[in-house]
Amino acid sequence: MIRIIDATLTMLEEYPLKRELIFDFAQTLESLCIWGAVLTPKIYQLMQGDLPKGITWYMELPNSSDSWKYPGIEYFLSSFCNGTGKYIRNIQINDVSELRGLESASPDNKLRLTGLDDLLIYESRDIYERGMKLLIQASPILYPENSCFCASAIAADYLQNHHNGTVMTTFTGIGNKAATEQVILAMRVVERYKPNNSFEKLADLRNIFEAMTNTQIPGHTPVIGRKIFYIESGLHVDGVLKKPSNYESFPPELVGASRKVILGKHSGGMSIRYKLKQYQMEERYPVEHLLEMVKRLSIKKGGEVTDEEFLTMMSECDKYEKANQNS
Amino acid sequence: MKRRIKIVDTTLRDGEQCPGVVFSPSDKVRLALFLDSIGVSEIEAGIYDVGTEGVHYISEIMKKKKQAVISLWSRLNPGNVEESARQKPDLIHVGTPVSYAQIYNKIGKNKKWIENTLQECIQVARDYQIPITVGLEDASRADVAFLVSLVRLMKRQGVETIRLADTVGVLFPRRAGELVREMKQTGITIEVHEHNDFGMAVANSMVMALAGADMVDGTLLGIGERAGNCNLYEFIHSAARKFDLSVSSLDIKKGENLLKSIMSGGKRNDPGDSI
Repeated sequence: MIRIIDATLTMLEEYPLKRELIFDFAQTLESLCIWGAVLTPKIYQLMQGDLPKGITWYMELPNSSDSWKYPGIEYFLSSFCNGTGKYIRNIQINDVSELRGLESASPDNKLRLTGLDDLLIYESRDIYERGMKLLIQASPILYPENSCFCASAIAADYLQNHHNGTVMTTFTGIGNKAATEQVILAMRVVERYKPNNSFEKLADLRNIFEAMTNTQIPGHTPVIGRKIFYIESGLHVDGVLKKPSNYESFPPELVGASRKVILGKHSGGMSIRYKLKQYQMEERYPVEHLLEMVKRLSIKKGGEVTDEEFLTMMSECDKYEKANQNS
Repeated sequence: MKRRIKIVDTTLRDGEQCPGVVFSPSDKVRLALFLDSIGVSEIEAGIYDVGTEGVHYISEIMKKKKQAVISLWSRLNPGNVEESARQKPDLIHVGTPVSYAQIYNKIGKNKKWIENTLQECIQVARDYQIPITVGLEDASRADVAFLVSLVRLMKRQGVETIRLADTVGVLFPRRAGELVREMKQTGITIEVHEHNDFGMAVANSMVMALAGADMVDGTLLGIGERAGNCNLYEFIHSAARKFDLSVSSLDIKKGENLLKSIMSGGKRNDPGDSI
């Protein structure tokens, strides 16, 4: 079984967090079929030890002898433990060649491998395949880093190769890690992971994350961006309106998003007809003329034409027509 | 010695497909000449479109550029190819639907029509003595047997380069590498074009380059439709250790700053507009 553990909370110690938001975040992770979540002693204290059920709790704890202080935590992650019982040993690996060290690892020891940024930038395919084989044998929790901008792909690649694998990720990849939302949706689309589960709560998770960090996630961020299903160009609007899968790798509803046709420089006649249909005025306006007006305004303002601006154009057309009738 | 990978910038074409992003002809000239000056191998300058922004900017770029190949994107339509050829770019790129979704659902044609129309387009470009590359649109969801037979047909017609376009961004590293290895057997030059729907465009481009692709497409700031394209800075930053790219990530960063300054000239509607 594929397992994804989210470590976002370990990256948020410096933010002014509220207990309720952390609770909502953890509960939303659970509804998204995330196997476990990691926290730190500081976050644990903030939650007063009251952890949502239905998710396996992990803690980053350098000094494993303190573990008795944290009831409800099932596993502790530390570089200074032997990886048995409740303890998972963390090993930092900076180069794929260091994976050879896994040959001597005991199958009874629980490991987390952090790093491996360059797993996909291999010297030769043989080295990559040997490294992947060793990873599958040792079956650690893989916690790839993102300094080569490949962390989500490394996590997805590991899970594709190892169907009993576990990866650790963070929401939006905060802390230079693989992004939880990218890995979970990649598994959903490619490996049919949890095919009956809805992932629409990813949008809620985004909103909670924004509230916790007081940031706004850019509109075109993969999977969770608010604008990833906005379409403008004539070619794409035409293709999507015929059949969404022509240009969408997954339906917007799957991730709690919705599709929107934007008017602008690249619009085609299909977009104008679509908007007119929305206003139930398909037959009343000359499509080509409106299209020309849309393109002209978009170029002039250097951006999209809003629905309000489009309505103004329609009323200008009305005025022009009336004036012509009267003259 | 590091293997050479040519960088193809498509900010001015596919990047501008990002809803709300608008470049004026003078913006395009500025960006193209900057990219040319930093050593980008090919610049996809746009789509031939006399109705929207005219064509003069293409001739201006052609006149002033120093080294980059300037290409124009054309639909799979002999008339469009001819109109593009009249602008005298260095190269015409013909976007060719190859998945069943694109052939049957989107354009309502069949494989035979694709083969015949593509041959007509190749002939038109040949008449104007302008080389073409063929963009296999939605190649990631296409039937590989059809791809291979189409590539062999193109090779017989003199086409030297194909672009494997992951149009809806559904490739993952394992399949991305396999696809290049399968196509490489035809002996054709391979350009790869990744979209970032699952945040894997840079990794896929890397794996495809390692599998034998010769050219990699990307955009400044990774802009493009949906979640964007392969981010050029990120790709070059990571790939420079393996390949000779003839352009540095530092210079790409300067290009990103230029693009940001151009985009901030336009009116923004809300803070979520940030790329």
